Amino acid sequence: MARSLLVLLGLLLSSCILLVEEPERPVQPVTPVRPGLVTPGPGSFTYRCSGGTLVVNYLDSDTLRLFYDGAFQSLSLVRRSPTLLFSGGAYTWEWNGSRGTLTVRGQVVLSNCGL
Amino acid sequence: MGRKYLLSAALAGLALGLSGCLVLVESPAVSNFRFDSNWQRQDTGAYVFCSNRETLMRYRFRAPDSSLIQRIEERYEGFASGKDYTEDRPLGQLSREGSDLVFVGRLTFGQGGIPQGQPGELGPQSIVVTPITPPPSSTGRTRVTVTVTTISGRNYSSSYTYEVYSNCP
Repeated sequence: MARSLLVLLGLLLSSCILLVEEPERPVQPVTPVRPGLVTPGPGSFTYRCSGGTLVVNYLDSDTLRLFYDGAFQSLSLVRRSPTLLFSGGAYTWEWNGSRGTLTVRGQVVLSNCGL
Repeated sequence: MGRKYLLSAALAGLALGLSGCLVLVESPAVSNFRFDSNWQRQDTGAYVFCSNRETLMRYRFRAPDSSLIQRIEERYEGFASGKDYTEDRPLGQLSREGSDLVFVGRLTFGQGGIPQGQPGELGPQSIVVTPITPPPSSTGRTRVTVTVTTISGRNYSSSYTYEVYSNCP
């Protein structure tokens, strides 16, 4: 009889232990780190765009030169995410990983550029 | 004896002289290269390529006897890309127009773009030149060099540099 009581007590206590179990801590939301786009190249690429072709020569990961207005224009990397953005003088070249856009003095002159 | 010798010498001299003349008046097998396209700048008269429009390129040269031609080589040098392409053009892709042989090709733009000539598709009359006032958007320059080699191994060559424009009207 005493043994049965002890077993019952043991079971109850184990239940208590379960009841007082510490609640799970809420998981802190983690902002995913989006890796920056990789600069194409190095090398020369001829893109086909809405509006014609454009030759872009990636010199290294931070600089390029493109041929527009009858001359080579040098551009430097401004940002890597969410799109690659190069700028120099009146010219801006934006690359989203598959398509590019050339802007001159704030006006889009060549868009949807791809290989 | 003396007269006979003089006559022989005179004849020999005349033969030599005439043979010299014959060499001098021999016309070249290939000459008078000319290049154009279907787009022409109004202000300078220069023929240009428009990369946003259908562009045809044409070259011709005087070659009265096609059988003397062994090979036609085209070389395309991209000033902006720094890339060169060389291609042999089959004689069958050229048309005869009087004393001229004429090639007309449709340009493909982009990586490795060169004129595509389909036999019978384009003829010398396929090009209708459209005068344009190009926008200030020169995006390249292509130097085209055509070299014709005759069966005797002699090369005849000529070049033309086309400005490449985008956003042609």
